[in-house]
Amino acid sequence: MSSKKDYPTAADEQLVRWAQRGDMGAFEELVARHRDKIYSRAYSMVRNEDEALDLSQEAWIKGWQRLKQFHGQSSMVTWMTRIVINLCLDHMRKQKRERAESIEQLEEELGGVERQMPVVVTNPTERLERSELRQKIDQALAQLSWAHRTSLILHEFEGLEYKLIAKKMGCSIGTVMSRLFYARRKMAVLLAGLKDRGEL
Amino acid sequence: MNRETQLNLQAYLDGELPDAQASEVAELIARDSVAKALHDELRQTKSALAVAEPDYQVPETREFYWSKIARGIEAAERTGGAEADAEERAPWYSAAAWLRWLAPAAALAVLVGLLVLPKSGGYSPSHVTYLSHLDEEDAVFTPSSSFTFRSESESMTVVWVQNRWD
Repeated sequence: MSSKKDYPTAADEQLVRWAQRGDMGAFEELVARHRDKIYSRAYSMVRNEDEALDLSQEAWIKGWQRLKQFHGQSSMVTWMTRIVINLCLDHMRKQKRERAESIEQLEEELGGVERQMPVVVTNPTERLERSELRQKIDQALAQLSWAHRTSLILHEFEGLEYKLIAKKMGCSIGTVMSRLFYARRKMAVLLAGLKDRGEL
Repeated sequence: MNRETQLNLQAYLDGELPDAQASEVAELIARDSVAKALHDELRQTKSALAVAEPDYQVPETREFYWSKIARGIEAAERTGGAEADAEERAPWYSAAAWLRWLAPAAALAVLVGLLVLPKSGGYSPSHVTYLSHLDEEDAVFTPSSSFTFRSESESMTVVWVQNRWD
């Protein structure tokens, strides 16, 4: 029966319906289509290739297990992205508990450091090709702490409101606002600095 | 500029301020160059992130990446299947557990009943003996006289019968 199904041409919604009936081939096609997106979100959060691989694969396994709970209110990719984000948050919380915070990180968490940063007046990203800009942002994101980077990712890339970010990260809305403010200010400085030093 | 104003500038940019407060911040940006400069910087960063989100590709082949997922699913289903089987069997396991307890409990109840009932007027072997004795005594009352001795420790009853006709 499954040999008659044309997985590569089937829409995501159809593949999901087949997968919900236990069709592993349909699920494999969904993984193949969206694996980069899910891995990408994991990597952007944990900044480690092996961990991102493990977390993204774990997300797909959980996705299969919970597939019957997916009713199509959002797209399959959005649903899977939420799963991988939650796994990454759990993973980072565990890691944070295990490692000692540096004084610099504590100062960043408490806030105030960003107030010493000069305002970047000119737009450092002007006249850049999209790929160049993407590379610069990647380099700048890598220099943020996980809390600042995650706040930024959840807000700017996932479009979550302050309230939902606070809930996901287990902190207050005020903390989310402070983290976002710090992250943006540091990103501005880093983007300007990378351009000035010609690191592209 | 204090921290609250800075965070309000950001919240204004993100559309997270109520209308009345948003109007106040808009006025501040219009009249205060420092506030405007900070707002512009925040806006530029936000715009850059909006158009150039970094993307990363899985550094493994499709087959290799999928193989680990497939193994994970199989392992989870084995574990899940065992758990499901245990859940399905649970009522029978419960019944069996009750039965395992029920048999000794029933035996104990019988034993307790045997020990307790004589005191409340029920039957016991010795009581039967007494009754037999009485019956027997009644039976031989007219023609004879008798004397009964009951030894509980020996579980034995001895009846002496004396023939009155002698």
